[in-house]
Amino acid sequence: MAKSDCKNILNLIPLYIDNMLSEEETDIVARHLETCEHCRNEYEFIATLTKETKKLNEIEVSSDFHKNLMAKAEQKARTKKSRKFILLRRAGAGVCAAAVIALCVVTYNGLNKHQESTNPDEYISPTSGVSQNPVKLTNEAPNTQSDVSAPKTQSTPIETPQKVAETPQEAPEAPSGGGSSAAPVEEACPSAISLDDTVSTYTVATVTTNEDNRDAIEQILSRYEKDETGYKVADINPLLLQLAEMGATVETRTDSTVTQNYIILE
Amino acid sequence: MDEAKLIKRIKTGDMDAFSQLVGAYEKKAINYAYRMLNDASDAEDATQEAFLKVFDKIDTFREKSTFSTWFYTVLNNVCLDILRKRSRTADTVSINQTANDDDEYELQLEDSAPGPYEQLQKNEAQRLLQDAIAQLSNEHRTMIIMRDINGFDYEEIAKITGVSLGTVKSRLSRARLALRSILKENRELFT
Repeated sequence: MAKSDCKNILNLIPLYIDNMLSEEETDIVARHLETCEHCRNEYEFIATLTKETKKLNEIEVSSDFHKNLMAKAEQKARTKKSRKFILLRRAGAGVCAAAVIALCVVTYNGLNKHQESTNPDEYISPTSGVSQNPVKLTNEAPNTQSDVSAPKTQSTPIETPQKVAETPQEAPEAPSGGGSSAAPVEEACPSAISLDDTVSTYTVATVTTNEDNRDAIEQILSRYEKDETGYKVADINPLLLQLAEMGATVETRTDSTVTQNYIILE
Repeated sequence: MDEAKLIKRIKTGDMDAFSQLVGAYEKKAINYAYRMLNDASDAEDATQEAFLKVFDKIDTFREKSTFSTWFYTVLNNVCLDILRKRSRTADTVSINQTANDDDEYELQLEDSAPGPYEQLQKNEAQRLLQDAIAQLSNEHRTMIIMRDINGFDYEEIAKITGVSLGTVKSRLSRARLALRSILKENRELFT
């Protein structure tokens, strides 16, 4: 038996054990093993090592592994939810702002139309509406629309913000007056713009964090004025997103009893 | 356990479903990491990191491969990252490796004090085998653990490690020969 044969056979034995050789190679190895004791010993040794490897003792999972992992996963889930909620509120605020602007335009044009209709010299186009300026028979320049800042008072409630909040699965539950971050549908536009002509609502965010992040978060918040309620933050959403990205848990609610947005660090 | 249903539930934020999935995988995963890293504490850290990564990215899991393939890909990569960091920071003793593995390995027993998990070793053969696996290169160790301990088939190993089937065959073959080479002086314990 040539030594080179045995060397080649040795190289084939590991895959022969797993039946991963071609038919031809399997046949060559099988016939060689019938006649070569040295290679038979090698085959048995490698096969035994493979078998013994399968039987190596397993280590046990430590008793708090699962609990610690789930705690971290839940923290991740909360952070994800806060981020989604903040982005949703931003989208909602955007929609609200657009709706309010549209309302202003309607109101403004409606008022214009009313004023113009009392002047018998003026012609009002039967198709004039939100986007059209009336054609005047006087020499005055047509009115241009300006100052579409949202008025605080209005007569018609806007329904759009309700649709924004209802669609996603993470839709918050209706609170009972200034509840938690499960803010209700009508509170999707919290920041200083009220759709109810009697009540202004602001955001109060409660931020909790672990000891590792507390110092960094306190440092950020120290830039803002603080009173007995908390830190006063005018443009609150970007800051809440930043804190959530740092690993803090953010819970928000709208509050009609405060006069601006607050962050409370617990 | 219907894995597909659990994953669907996890995507909706169902933490109980995630807990069940973890329960089904954690022991084998920790043991995989333990064999790769040869340290129980590192193994739990690596496994935890892998679980949190898949949890974070669960929405991107499209079920084109099995969850098992995906999870072990992540876990394997976490272990390899740890091993790379270790080799950058620690003094390592290189083991001579050549294309012909015969006679090139020596059995090197760790001289650190045995950890608590070594109490689990039933006999000298197991201890030697465990040490020998730890001596293998990262590539060879991955093959032995995936095939001989976790029982993955060759195709799954190829998917997890991102190499071709031919490469898996070649690496596994050399890995088994390397173990043989390390342990041949103690052959009598394995008959």
